[in-house]
Amino acid sequence: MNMRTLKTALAGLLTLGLSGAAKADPVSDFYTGKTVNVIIGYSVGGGYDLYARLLSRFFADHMPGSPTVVPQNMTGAGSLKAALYLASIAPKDGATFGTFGRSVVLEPLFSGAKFDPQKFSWLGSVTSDSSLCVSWADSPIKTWDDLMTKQARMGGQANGSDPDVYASILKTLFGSNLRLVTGYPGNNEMALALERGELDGFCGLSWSSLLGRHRDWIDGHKINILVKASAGGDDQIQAPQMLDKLTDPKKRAALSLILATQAMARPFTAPPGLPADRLAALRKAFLDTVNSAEFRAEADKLGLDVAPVTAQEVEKRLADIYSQPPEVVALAKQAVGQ
Amino acid sequence: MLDAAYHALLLILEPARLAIMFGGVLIGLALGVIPGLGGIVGLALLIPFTYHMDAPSAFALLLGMASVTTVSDFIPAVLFGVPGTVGAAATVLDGYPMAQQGKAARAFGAGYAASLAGGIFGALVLGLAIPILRPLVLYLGSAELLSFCIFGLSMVAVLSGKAPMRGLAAASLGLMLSMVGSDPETGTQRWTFDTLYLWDHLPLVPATLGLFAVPELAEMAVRRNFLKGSPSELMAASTQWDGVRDALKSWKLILRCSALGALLGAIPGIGSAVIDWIAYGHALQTEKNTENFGHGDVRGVIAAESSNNAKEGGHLVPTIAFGVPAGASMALLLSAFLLHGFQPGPDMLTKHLDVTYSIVWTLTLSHIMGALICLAASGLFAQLARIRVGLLVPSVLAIILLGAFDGSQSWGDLYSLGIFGALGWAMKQLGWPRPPLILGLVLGSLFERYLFISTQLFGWSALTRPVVAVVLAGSAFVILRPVVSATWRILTNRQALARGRVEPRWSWNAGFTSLILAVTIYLVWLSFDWPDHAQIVPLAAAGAALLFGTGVFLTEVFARKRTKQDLALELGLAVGHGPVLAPGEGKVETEDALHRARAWRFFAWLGGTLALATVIGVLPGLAVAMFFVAWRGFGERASRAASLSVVMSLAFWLVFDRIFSTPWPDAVVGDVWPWLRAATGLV
Repeated sequence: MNMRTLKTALAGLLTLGLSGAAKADPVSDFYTGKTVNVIIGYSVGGGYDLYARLLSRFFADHMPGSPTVVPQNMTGAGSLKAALYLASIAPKDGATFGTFGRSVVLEPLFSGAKFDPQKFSWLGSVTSDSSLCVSWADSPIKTWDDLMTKQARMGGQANGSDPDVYASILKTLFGSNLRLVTGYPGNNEMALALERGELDGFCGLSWSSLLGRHRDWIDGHKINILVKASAGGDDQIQAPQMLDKLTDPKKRAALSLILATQAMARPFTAPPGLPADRLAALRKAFLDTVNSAEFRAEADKLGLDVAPVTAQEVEKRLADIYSQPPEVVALAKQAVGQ
Repeated sequence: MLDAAYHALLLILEPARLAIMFGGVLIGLALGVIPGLGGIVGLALLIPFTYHMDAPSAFALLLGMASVTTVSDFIPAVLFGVPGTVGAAATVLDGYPMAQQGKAARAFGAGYAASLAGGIFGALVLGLAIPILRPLVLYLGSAELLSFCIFGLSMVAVLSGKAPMRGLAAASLGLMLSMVGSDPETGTQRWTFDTLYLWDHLPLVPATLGLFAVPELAEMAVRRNFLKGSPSELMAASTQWDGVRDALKSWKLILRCSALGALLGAIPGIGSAVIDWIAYGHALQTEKNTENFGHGDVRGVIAAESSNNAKEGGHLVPTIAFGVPAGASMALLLSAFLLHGFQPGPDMLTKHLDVTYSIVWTLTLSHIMGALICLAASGLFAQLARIRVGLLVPSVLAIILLGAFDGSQSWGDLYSLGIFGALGWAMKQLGWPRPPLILGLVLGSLFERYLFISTQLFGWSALTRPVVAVVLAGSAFVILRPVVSATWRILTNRQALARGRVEPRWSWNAGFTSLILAVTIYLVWLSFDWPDHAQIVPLAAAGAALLFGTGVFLTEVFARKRTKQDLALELGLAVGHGPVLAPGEGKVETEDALHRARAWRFFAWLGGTLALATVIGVLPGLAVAMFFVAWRGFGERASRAASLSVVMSLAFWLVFDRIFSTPWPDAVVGDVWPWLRAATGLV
């Protein structure tokens, strides 16, 4: 066999291969008849669960090969268990992705949890969010200044939970005089304590849960919103922005680090190291789903906020968080009370 | 209001909704029969299916299912001594001995009648309380919740029977175990040994199954027979009508226990795992002629069942009025409310009053359906008694393992089941009462939570709040009576000691007690570097455990030698049906040795199954274990053992993998051959 025939044969083989690739889409082939598991880090019925189940319902329509999408709840350690599962155990073939708490991506920085959020194959976030401090309408604490100067009795749930984290931020970064009464099992129990007059208010209430679960608090003028804390994009909320109240650059950097997670409030990610073509398909399907009319209509019915955040934006936020100098990280860690 | 109630009744009586409710009731009854599964699993499973239903239909399905799991959980409790849900543990105490005495039918009749009465009572309380629901719940602040926890804990004194010292030690141990996990105030990881599993506290299902189901199963494996006689004999000695008549005769007890169940059900956190025990304790304290309690007294069954079924109505009070879930199942139900656009709170009592009443009617009707179905099907259930023990033990063992695994779907659940199972077996054999342990385990963290909130908010002035004062006085009364008599007995024992009539003796019980003490000391040592606030309650509990444990140890080593009769008397209430005394000492010796060998073998199976599961996966491990235990352990024919294993495994796979889409934990073979994991999803 001389050189020319060899070359011809090779060229022929190459063309055959290319045309084959053009006809059968390997991504579509992979997902046809496949079951895609959506791991949810919380139990049935919570906000994260609602978002994930809604996404799962419409996701297959936007995926090549229309796989069967099955939501699975994997609760534990405030969804850290699900994050660790996705980071190291879940199959990295594109047939598994999942969701966990927005602040879990800070755990490696603050508590030394062993996973790297930057290595995840992010799909994006369904929405961004804002964290609020609220007081009951008839409490003497009615404004941001009251919160700073008076001894407000603010409710908490546990060290590391949002209400405690934001109360701690107010004390450490702003020198607030508030008194944290911690140990309540959940937001509703704290709301009951507000109504009973045991507490003045609480922090860490996210705007999306206020809309979805406590609409009557806004409509019935039952609460004062004392301050909002977010990474921007929440002009519809009538309250001062927490970051605007800080001038010291180091403190601002520390608070920004914590608030960056609000920009990825309902995050979805696949395990690290996915085949590139499957990741691209998942990302596209994610955005197509959350932008689809039927998804929006259903979300509206459930009172769920939708303002999609792309995978690239999530990655950028994480890169920002993880490039902060150690003293900023240390201050942020101190601010959240860890 | 009456209009709304009537309108709601018409809504519910629409044939399509009734059919949906009936479907829910059937699912609920099935889940209740399977140990470990119950309302929580059912709700998680069914809620996604209600997205497209109208609200009354959705609640008919969900509540129809959730409210009858506590009706049918009674069946395995009576027939096998294995509680169907965490709420049936107290039922075992008298229900199982009744079955062994051939009075299963009577137990069934009494149990269902009590369930029905309790369920309707709970619905009635909810229905009548609607106008005053919100002021009522608003009145109960953190200090009041604390006092109810203390009242619950005080029942330890009654439930310890004739072994008060051991009861107190067990309760302290339970309190300590309830502290495992992330501390609510400081976030300290208490006794979690760097595992994620223990972060979220010990889940109740594996603990309850371990403490109450595994020992009965071990007993069954040891004695090789579980019920005397054929199904017809089982049902013949009495009829279900006898049971219903028993229940009617005890109507006052049913009313009291239902009221207790509905009231405690309304307290967030006090769930079915303790309500049945508290009602049982109440019956013990208030009824006359209680010496037969724990040996098949029908009133024990009635107290436990009526309270537990009244609980559901109570549970709904804070859920509907304030959106505060009274338990895990209610948290799920709450999400169903929101899904259907209902905001729990004032609206439910005004604008959506018809929905609230449809819930009341659903509770009532589903209890009637559940009780009637069970009464009609009792003969069928009694056929289960026909199954040979060699097929029954491996199957039930596998079901319990899967039920426990459903607690939080991790290996930890299986290990918890094994550890609590061994603990439960030891306690049962050595005459330690188990209910105090579960009371401590459930109420401990709740007690700590409200203790800190109340002291931060009120300080000592909490004691001047009227409800707190009354409830605490009631608790003091419950505690003091038995404690006084116990102290008297210890003092008389010490006199015996002073007269030098006893020689120190070593025994299994002394060994067990020393083990408990050693573990306690180790745990105390681990707690030294915690922040102060994280230490207070755990160290107080540990101190109590050491104090009472030492007391048990001393009386065990130095007390006068007890006769077998004494021992049986002492075990009486504490263990339900204690060891049966065989006539003739020599026979006892050989039988004892045989029984001991069989008990060790049973726990070896349990351990072996767990080890096998870590290697080849949970479902494949159970399949192999069922075959092996039936074939080698009980001498069944290999073909029969194989068919058992295949049929049961297929059923498990359908239910847990296909329907529940359980995320199976990783097994070694899946690590070695990832393609196997990808292909089956089981390993």
